[in-house]
Amino acid sequence: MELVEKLKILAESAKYDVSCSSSGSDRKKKKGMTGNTSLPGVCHSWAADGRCISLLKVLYTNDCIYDCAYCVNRRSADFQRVEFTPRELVDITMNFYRRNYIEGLFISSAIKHSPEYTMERMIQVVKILRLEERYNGYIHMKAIPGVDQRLLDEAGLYVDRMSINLELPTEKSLKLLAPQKSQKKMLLPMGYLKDKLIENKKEVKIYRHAKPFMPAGQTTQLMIGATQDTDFSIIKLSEAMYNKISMKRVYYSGYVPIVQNNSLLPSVVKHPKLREHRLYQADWLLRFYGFQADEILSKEFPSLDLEVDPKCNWALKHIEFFPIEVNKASIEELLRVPGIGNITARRILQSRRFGPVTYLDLKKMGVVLKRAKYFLTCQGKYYGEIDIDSDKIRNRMLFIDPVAKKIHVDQVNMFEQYPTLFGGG
Amino acid sequence: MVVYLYDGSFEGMLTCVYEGYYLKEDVQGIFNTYQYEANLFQEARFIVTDLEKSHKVGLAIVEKLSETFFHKIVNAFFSDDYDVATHIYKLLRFGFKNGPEVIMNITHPYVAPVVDLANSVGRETHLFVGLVRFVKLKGGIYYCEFAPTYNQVPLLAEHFSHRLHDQVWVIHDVKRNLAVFYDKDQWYVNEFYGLNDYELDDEELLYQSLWKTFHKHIAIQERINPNLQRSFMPKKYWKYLLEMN
Repeated sequence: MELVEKLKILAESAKYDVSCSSSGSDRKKKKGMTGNTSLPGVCHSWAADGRCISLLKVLYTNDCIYDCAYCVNRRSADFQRVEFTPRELVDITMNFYRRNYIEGLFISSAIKHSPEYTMERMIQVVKILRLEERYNGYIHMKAIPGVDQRLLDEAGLYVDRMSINLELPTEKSLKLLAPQKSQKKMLLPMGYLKDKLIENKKEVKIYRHAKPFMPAGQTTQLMIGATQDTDFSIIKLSEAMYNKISMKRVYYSGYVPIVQNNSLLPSVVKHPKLREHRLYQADWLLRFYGFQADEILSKEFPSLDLEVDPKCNWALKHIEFFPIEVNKASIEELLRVPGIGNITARRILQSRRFGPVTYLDLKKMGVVLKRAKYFLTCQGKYYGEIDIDSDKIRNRMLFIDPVAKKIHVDQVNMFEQYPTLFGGG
Repeated sequence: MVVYLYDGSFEGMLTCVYEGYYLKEDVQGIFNTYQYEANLFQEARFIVTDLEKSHKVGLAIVEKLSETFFHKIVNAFFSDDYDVATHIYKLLRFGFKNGPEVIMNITHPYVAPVVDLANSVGRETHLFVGLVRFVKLKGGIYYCEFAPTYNQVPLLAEHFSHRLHDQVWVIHDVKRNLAVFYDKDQWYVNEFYGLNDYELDDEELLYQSLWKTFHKHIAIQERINPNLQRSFMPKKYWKYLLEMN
């Protein structure tokens, strides 16, 4: 089979994996080796769906023994099964890298024969890259749940980042759609990798020659919209991942109805883009804005509001905290204002050292005034033009302001495929 | 009313800054002599670039102000903006008088123009760290043509001399007829009008088609969104992007 055809099939099989960031690893050039890595990551292109392409994202093989209902590569699906040889994949990676098409390799795989067999093949690819081709760039490997720890140990020495996809937030959903997988089987290696990472951090400090183990940490992915799981259970799970397993990122993948006529799966007509987008916004609140999952949603209100973003939603529910005076507020308070992000908040603090911040300055500093103006005062003056009342502000945002209206009707994904710009990773 | 003109180089601009201080003149502006439009009310004086003087100014910026300050000025300078040298001169006078932290006062009329330009240039540099596409020629030279909005050639050189330090490459700005050459050891920038005649490496077309195939098939059909794609990767850059042609 021709290489072009093979690449086409194995890229198509890999495209539903969302993770593509190349951040988190800061490795300088080395003599006799090719490449380096960039801490914030670099996007090299954008595909027609607007998602960034940073890594060469392919499956090693799409030949799978599992039969997960939602997956393109499930055993019962009738289509062509192909497999790279390690050499082919290495050549493509090196040649793409040298032409600056990509930032590195993202290698994943369907499970052929057994988890061990597959993982060994993938390790073989990265070993050739690192040891024979002297490749020093970024590698992200998808670990296969259920493999021997020895293989995880070995892979961790050669890759920058490893990830294990949790796919579905609850054991129940997993039982339903992917009966051969279990949550325990996936959480176990995650915990193991976390311990290894902590141990390695200590070692690197003490021993000069200790090899760094997965310097960019681990990530995971959850699928949205294929089961009845609520947003609340999803962000609770993400919060636990960030706090307990020190996960670098949790990715959310809106379920694309690739599999037709399966009674287990919802007959989704539309791709849940907006819900996915709102989940990413909530995720950012958890990681960069000091929010707790319980502040964003609760058992009583388990779904994210699709009309307004989660931060606006929180602000409208806690209108008693507002308005905030930008010239006096602390950074934590500023971060609670819709329309003020991390960079802007820091700029405001910096600027205050030189004199009071005026309303005109706010716009220059990057405050999104069409949202923020209802929640702040500047030098004592309130610019919202209407009473500080949740319902009034909400109505105004949704129906009077044409720009906001448009955003709330058809806003799609802005953040999720561009992790590096927003300091993710 | 006197304005200084420099030869278009960064060192030339710094020499003007030096002279402005040394001659204690009330300098109204500093301009690139190739861009300058003569004005009846201004006396324009060409300042000859002096590497020693420019080095002194450069050192003073790093030592008395800060490295951040220096980077902002370098980035802003390569925007090729008509007024950029004047803005930099004003900012430097303001900075040397008031200390390095003025750079954080980003709404100040002396600081804002330089920081804004520097940020625009920096954003484009980061974009091109990804969007530069090399073509492998016979003989093993990797060659890239592109047409950035700002003068990115000197800014990209540093990154690629680390990333691709074990191969010979050329990055050629077609718009400015400027290129950076790297010989596995050092890089240097020079005027360049393109290659007249060259042959591609035997495998070049194979990898080009592989990349195009990959780029096409990694997109999810159900969520095609050309507007989003364009907002990240503006159409003005497509001409030299292999996968978009």
